[in-house]
This record gives sequence, C-alpha cells and structure tokens, in this order.
Amino acid sequence: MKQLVVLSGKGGTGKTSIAAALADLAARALRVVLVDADADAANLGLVFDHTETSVRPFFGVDVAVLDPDLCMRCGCCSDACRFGAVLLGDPFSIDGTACEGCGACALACPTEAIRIEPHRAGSAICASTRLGPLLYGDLYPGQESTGKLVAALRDAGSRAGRETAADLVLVDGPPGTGCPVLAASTGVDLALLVTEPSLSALQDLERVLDTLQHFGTPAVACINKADLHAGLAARIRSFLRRRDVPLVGEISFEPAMRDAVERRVPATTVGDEVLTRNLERIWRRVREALAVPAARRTAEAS
Amino acid sequence: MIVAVASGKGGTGKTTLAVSLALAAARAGVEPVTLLDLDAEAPNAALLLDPVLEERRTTGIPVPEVDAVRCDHCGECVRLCRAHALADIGTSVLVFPDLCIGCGVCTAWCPQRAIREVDHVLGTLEAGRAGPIAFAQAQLDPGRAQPAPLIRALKAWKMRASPTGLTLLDAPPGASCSVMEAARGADHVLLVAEPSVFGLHDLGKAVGALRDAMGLDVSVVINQSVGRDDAILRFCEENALAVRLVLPFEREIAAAYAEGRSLLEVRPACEAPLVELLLQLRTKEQLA
Repeated sequence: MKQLVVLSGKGGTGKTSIAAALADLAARALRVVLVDADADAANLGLVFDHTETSVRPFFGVDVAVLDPDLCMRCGCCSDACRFGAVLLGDPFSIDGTACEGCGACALACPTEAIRIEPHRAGSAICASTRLGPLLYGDLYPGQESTGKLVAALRDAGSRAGRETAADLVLVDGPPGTGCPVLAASTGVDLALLVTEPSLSALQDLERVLDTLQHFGTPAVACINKADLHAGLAARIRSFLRRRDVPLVGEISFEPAMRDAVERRVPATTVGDEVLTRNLERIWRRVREALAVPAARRTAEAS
Repeated sequence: MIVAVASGKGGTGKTTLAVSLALAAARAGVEPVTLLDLDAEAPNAALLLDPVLEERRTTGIPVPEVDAVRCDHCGECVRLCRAHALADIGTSVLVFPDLCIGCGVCTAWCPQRAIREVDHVLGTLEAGRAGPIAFAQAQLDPGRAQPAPLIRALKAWKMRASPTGLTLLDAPPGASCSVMEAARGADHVLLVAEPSVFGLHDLGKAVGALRDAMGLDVSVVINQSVGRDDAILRFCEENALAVRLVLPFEREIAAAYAEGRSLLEVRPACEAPLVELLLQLRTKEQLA
C-alpha cells in the first residue's frame, strides 16, 4: 500500500480537482482510500457522493474551564497565561478560541477555580464512495486543532487501507507549509505538488518543497493552468529541473475544470478529451513514481 | 480602522484585495496605511507591493533548556507538560522544541528551578515601506509547524490602531487557528469568496469561525465571478452577510496577478468601488 499526498503551498491552484481526477483514474484499476486532509476546507466530499459509515468524536487540545463561583478575580490566571485567553470581565472567563490548554492558569489559581478539560472539537468521519472509503473531518467553528485532526484522519486512512487491502491511500492536502501540511505529509511515499504559472505559486512551491526536503519526502510536480502565462510556466519548469523535481504533466487553463467542480464530478468524467488525456498522463507518471502496478492482478481485483 | 482580509478556500484573491485596498486608500489620502501579510506559510503580498524591507528579525517561542546539574529528575516538568514536549530518560531530560507551545509551565513550576527558556526560532519578521504604505510580513521557516506565534509577534510589533488610518491584515486561508489569530482584534473582516461549489462551502466554514465563534463583524467580497453568483448571493442573504463588492474573473487580471501586477494596474476603474467599500466600513463603525 502506497500513500500519496497532493500539496501546493499556495491555495487555489487546483489540488482538490486534480486529486479527485487522479482518484477516479486510480480507482478504475486499483483499490483506493481517500483522505481529505484539508480539514479547514474539506472539499473532496463535495466531488464524490458518499454515505457516512462511522462518525467518531474528535478531541482537540484541552481547554480551561473557569468556575465563576470559586473565582475571586485575583488575576493570577491572566498573569500566567501567555496566550491572552483569560478575559478579565465580570465574571472572568476563558476565550476558548485563544486557549491552548497548557494549564498555566489552573496551576496559578489559588482557589482551584479552573480545570483543564478534554474538549470535543469536531468529528472524524469515515464514509463510503463508489471509489472506496473516504475519510474527512468536520471541525466545530472556531477550533484550533486542525493538525491533530489531520493526524487522526491519516491514521484512520491507513487503517482503512489495511482493512480493505488497498493499493493506494490518496491524501488531499491543505495549503501552506505548517502543522496541517506536516501532518498530511508525514510518512507518505510521494508528494504531488500542484502549481500554476504565477510568481506567488512559484514562491509557495519553493517553500513547500523546502519543507518536504527537510523531512526527506520525495516529490513530483504538475503545472495547472499552464497556458495562463507562458513566461512564468517556463520559469517554473526550469525551477523544477534545478531542484530535480520531475514534472509529471501540465494542464492548460480549462473551463472544463471549473465545470467539473460545479457539477460535483471528477474532471476525468466531463468529456473533455484533451483534459482527460493530460490527467491520465499525470496519473501514469505518478503511479510509476510510486511504483504502484497499473492494475491489481485479476484474481485479487475480483 | 483595522480590516482583516480572509477566506475559507485558498486562492480566492485575499492578497489581491488587501493590496488593492491599501493602494486605493493611500491614493485617496488615508494616512497612515499599513498592510501586514500574516499568511506566514505562504506570504505573497510583497510580490504585488514590491516594498523596500529595512527591518528584519527572527522570532520564535521560548522553549525549555534543562540544567543537568540542578535537575534531580523529579519528573514534575514532564508531568505538567500537556504538549508532551519533554521526556525524562533518566540521565537527562529531552526537549522536543517542535512540540513545545512555549507556555512556560515547566519553567515556572520546576521545584529545583533547573529550567530556563531559550528562543526556538520559527521564522522571520520583516518590515519596510512600499511608497506611502507601511508593510510588514511574517515567514514560517520550512519544517516548522506553528505559524500562530509569528502572527502574534508581527501584530505586536507593527499593528497600530489609528482612528484616521487603515491597517489591513492579509490572513492565511482556512477557518482555524492561524486565521483566527490573524483576524483577532480586527474591526471588520472581509471574506473573499469565489462563487464555486468549493468556495461556497469554505465560506460557510470561515463565517462559522470568525463571526459565529469569535463574534467579529464579517462581510463578503465575491471574486472571480463569471456571472453565476445566484447560489452565493442566496447564501449571503440567508446568513445576513453583506456583499460589499463583486469582482469579475478575467484572464487578463489573472495573468497580471501571475506576474506580480496589482488589480488597480490592469483595472484602474476598480479604485472607486474599493474606496467606497472602505467608506461603508467606516460609516458602519461610526454608527456602531
């Protein structure tokens, strides 16, 4: 079982659209598990009709709970808190969106008016799709634990992969380079970087590549909207060559990509032949880089 | 007036809007105008603004360093650390700086006073000017997990509330920790949304975090409109979200952005509606 993460650095370059297309192509001959690791903007479930098979409560970082009856408003908690999470109103209260659950306030409180409690931050959901299992998260509004949720979804994805004897776990990653990206890419076999010809996409591509190389994760790249700016597309190609990142394909700026999103289907199913061919090429080269066979042996596939 | 520019989905045009608002405000005579790029994982505003960066500092979080002579391995630090950033292996206490959140509990509560704090660098803050606009940005180092301390540090360093001026906070995408950290303290939040199935879903998440959980004043700018905005307009109406501006998708605008040219350079006619948007927010503030 191989694990592939789709990343970009910059948001909006087409990670989810391309992940969905590759998932569709992969699932035609292999067993796949899908993990939506962009927990702040989980859109993979919008592309694939799914039925929830399990909903597990997800506990984020612990949170401080203040009992106003025991509080004598001395302010020791506020002095101890480095995150500005104690609101010195009447009565004192805790700003749950700022609290990191470190416990400094509870230790400092002379009247034991503060407890640190586990805190449900949302759900980790397993669903079934026509392709295979889909894992995604649903964070309650204003929660802080995206990275921890992504780690939980990755674990659940690997488990589902083992249970279904999957060939591929495909992880649709978040933008950026921080905590959720690290959780999404830990231990994967390959990262596919989806970029586009713009200065900002190039800058963010370099940052995400630095991040992956920091952990020794191999990467390949594809250029989406490649005809949007010929000069920058050329710069991206030469950047990728310089950094020894194989370019596995390019997709021109296609209204069909946008239409696929609106119709909530993978871009491989909207009847655009050129687009489909280009996506198939990307999938073939990603598959080769992952050393995944083209198809399961018939005995296994049945 | 402090205005945060955020979005649920990435790539909807936060930076384009934040930079255009800064330029339009400066041309309209607003003073001072400050733009903070708080998308520490992917800071791109400087590509559009081309500022001269004069000040630079690294920043991080205080992490523990255990004095092996004083430490008697009582285990209190390990027990109290809720981030699991410390481990006592008998001969020494190991510190895992990338797990540490810098809360200071271990240092404050060590019975032997054997712990002092040292700086664990997470990234860089830079500041300078682009003409009339004061500019600063935060950049997370590759391999580091936590952008939020950089966001807090940049705001503490360069964010000033000014009754006559305008401070723009260019936030990261998403709906959790770093976005909330970026938008905290803003008088208004503009959520930039694209009118796609994905954009609409992610807009809902961002509204949940910034308005419903944090209680911030949130309104919407629709960007990359191709004239099929019914669903998003209906969503905004149903959720009592004012739509302040609709900007079109045009290939020419996208191509200009690609090479680091601002919206106002290719579409000077957008300046007036942007100034009008700022006036709306200011009027709202005066009425409140």
